[in-house]
Amino acid sequence: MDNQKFNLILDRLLERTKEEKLEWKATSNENTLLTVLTDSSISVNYEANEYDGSEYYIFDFRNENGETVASITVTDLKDQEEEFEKAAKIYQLARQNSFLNNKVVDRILEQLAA
Amino acid sequence: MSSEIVNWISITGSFLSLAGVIIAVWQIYKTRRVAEAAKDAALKTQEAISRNLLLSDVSTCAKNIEEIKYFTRNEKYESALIRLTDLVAQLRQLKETLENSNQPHQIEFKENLSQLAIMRGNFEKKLTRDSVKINVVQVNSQLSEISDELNSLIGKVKLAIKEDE
Repeated sequence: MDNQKFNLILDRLLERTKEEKLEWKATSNENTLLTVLTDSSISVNYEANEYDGSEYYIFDFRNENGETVASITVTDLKDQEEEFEKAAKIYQLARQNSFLNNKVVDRILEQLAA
Repeated sequence: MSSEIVNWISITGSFLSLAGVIIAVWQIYKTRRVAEAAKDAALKTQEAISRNLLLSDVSTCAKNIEEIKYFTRNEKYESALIRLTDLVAQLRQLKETLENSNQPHQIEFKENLSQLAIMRGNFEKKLTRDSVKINVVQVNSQLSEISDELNSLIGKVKLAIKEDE
C-alpha cells in the first residue's frame, strides 16, 4: 500500500471514528481494537518496545475470511510524526468507542434504566 | 370371408391399437411419476446427509472452542494455537458450505474470523515472547460468543431435520 493511500485511510478512519460512525470492538488482545466493514476489517494494535521505549501502531487490513491482506506499522520516528499522531488519536478514540459499545456496559445501562 | 367379418376384424384391430396407445401413455406417465418420486427421495436423502454433515462440522467447531478455552486457562498456548488454527480452517469451510446452501444462520463470519486471526497472532507472539499478555477473560468471552452463534445454528439444523422426518 502506498503512503498516500495509507494517509487517506488514516484520515478517513480518524474522521469516522470521531463521528462515531465506526464501531470499534475489543479483542482478545488488550491493545488491539477491531472494526468490521462491509467486506473487510481493520484492526489497530498498540505496542511499546520494552527495551528502547519506542511506541508503534500496527494497522492490519483483513479480507472477509480474516486473512491479512496488508499490514502497516506507524512508528514514533521523526519521518512518521504526522502519521503517528493520527494513529495515536485513532487508537485513543477507538478505545473509548469500544468501551461505549461494550455489550456488558449496554446491558448494565439498560438494567439501571429499568 | 365375408366383408362383414373383415370389417369386424378391422374395427377390433383399431380398438385394440387405441387401447394399446392409451396403455402405453399411461405406462409412460406412471414410469415418469416413479422416476420423479425417486428423484425427490434422492434429493431429500442428499439434503438429510448435508444437514447431518453440517451438524457434525458445527459440533466439531464447538468442541474445538471448548478445548481452546481449556488450553488457554491452563496456559498451554501451543496446544491452544493448534486448535485455533483448526478452528479457523473449519469456520472458513463452514462459511463456504452455508453460502452454498439455503440454511439460515446468524454467524458473523467476518468478525469472528478477524477476532480469531488477532487471537492467533497473540498466541504466536506469546510462544516467542513470554512477556506478551494473554487476556484469558477476553479470549473466553470472544470464543463464547462464537460458540453461542454455532449453538444457535445447531438448533436450527436439528429443527430442520425433525421437520423433514
